[in-house]
Amino acid sequence: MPLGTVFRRVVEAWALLGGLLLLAVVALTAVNAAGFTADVLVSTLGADVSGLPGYEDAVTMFVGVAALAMFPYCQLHGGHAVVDVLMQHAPPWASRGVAVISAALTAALALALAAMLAWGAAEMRDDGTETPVLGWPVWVFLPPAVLSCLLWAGAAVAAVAGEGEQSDGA
Amino acid sequence: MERELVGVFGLLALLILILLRVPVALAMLVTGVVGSWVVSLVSPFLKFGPYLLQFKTALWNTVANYDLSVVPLFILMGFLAAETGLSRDLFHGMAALTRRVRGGVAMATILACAGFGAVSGSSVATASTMSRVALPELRRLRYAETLSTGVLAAGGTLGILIPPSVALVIYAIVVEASIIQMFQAAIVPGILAVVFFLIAIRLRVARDPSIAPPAAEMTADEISTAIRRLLPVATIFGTIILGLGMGLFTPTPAAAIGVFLILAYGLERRASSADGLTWPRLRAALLSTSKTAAMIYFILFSADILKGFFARTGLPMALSDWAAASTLEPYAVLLVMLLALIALGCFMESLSMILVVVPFFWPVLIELNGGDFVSAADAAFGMTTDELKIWFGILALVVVELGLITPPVGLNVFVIKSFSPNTSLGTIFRGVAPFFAVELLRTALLLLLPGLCLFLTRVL
Repeated sequence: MPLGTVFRRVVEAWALLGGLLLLAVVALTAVNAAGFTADVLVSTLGADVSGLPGYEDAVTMFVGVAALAMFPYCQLHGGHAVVDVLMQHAPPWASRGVAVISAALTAALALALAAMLAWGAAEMRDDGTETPVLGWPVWVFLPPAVLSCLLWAGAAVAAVAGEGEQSDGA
Repeated sequence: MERELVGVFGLLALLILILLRVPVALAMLVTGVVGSWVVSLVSPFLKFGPYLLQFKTALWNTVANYDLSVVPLFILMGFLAAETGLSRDLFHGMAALTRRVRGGVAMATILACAGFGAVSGSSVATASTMSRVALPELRRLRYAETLSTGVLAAGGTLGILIPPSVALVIYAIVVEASIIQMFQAAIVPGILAVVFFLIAIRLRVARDPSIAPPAAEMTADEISTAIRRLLPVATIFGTIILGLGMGLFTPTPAAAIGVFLILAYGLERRASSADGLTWPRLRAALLSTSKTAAMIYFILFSADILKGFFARTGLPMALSDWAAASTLEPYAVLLVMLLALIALGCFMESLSMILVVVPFFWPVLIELNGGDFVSAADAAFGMTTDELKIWFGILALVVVELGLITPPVGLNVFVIKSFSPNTSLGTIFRGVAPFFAVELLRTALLLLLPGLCLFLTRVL
């Protein structure tokens, strides 16, 4: 299987994992809402049922990982908003030039962000940074975020090398 | 003054990069970082090294943000609604309700766009989904192309304002307003838009009935089935809006429960018909969500970096000082701001436009109104700062909607064109013209009667 196809599939699977994490948030919310509803119902009998403790902590961390997992797929499939007003009249070499420069800049920035996030994760681990209610160590959620940024950089290069799709024009 | 000049040049550089078709979020990020470096050269006390350290956590702080977690969930809700057949049920139900009216299918399209816009929260998603559902039916009934495509382009704009809407959530976060109050304030303007669009269709059809031939008769069975299938849509929408309005949910749980209900609806449809939720459809919804959510998060992250750059230049502060010292008529300034938003909306993506422009406009408006802590009685606009946030937000989103159908580059018009490649852009813009006119009328009403936006926030 060509390397480009393998990369495409990895990026897609990574985005789907992000999507499934969102569905986990939906399931968490359903349980939490059921807890609150049950509390309203049984409170008349003097009993109480609690929602999920630390629900906001879990949602914040899961959505953080899920959202970054989606970046490479968006980049590979030209999902970022662009304005076509001027360049639709430009010669193909000019459009191609802007696309290549944009992809190179995105790849460089994504790599720099991956390095900074890894640095941030190491600091959070050393500082013992935790989520406020559940006390989960935050750094644990950052390695997938770093991986997302690395895939994002790869997707920027792959998209301009012809493995992706055209951007959605505005 | 040097720093403020860097800010002005930064703004120009941003516009040039965007016009050169550099992705909007990337243009904002590059302008923010490079601009901050230039500021550190002009003002050495604003060092660049410490500035760069914020990137250790800046991206993570944007995505791991509880308030913003509502964004991917609302987006997923919209794509699931499109994939599970909810949009089709909505359209057929509305068509059954309006079957006796001449032009009823066009009206049903507007009503279905409003309903779908409520669950999807995105104008482009509303325009593209409803085009797939309604355009074949409008063609089969031989509706004129100007009417069919115009109705869809205009109906699509309803997604941005009818709550719950991603744009409302993001505006509320930017200006630190209550998301729930923004939703409450958008209800009356949203209903007004629907009513005005229906009136525009009625008047057009009355003037030239040939553009909307009568619909075929429906059997009693067909009517009851179509109307019955509206119930799940009403239940999902009602649960979200009532839950938010009555304080049962905050926005994130409301969005998650919306996703849960649509998943349940899709599974029920799957069990009772060939339609509904399958793995390929769920997969498609998850991947489409990935594309849109990442696009929005990248814009939000870049907007934050850009905002930091402009703050370092002192430009927003200089503008608010100038506004405080000026004798400008507040309403005239507000009008100029709205016109600028319409003009920018002709070529700029709406979310990034709000994120770039609002941080400049907002401090100016506060000063013109009389300062942060002014009472309603002493304020130039006759309302407190909190109410001004809400009113201006609704006005800004209404004119952003206008931008979506404004020639020569209204985004929704191009979405419709992609579904109807044989229809000329001129035809679609001609079709949109009456809706554009009633939108102007609605904007004027909301400008003159702020109570239309603020009424529900005051009584609920």
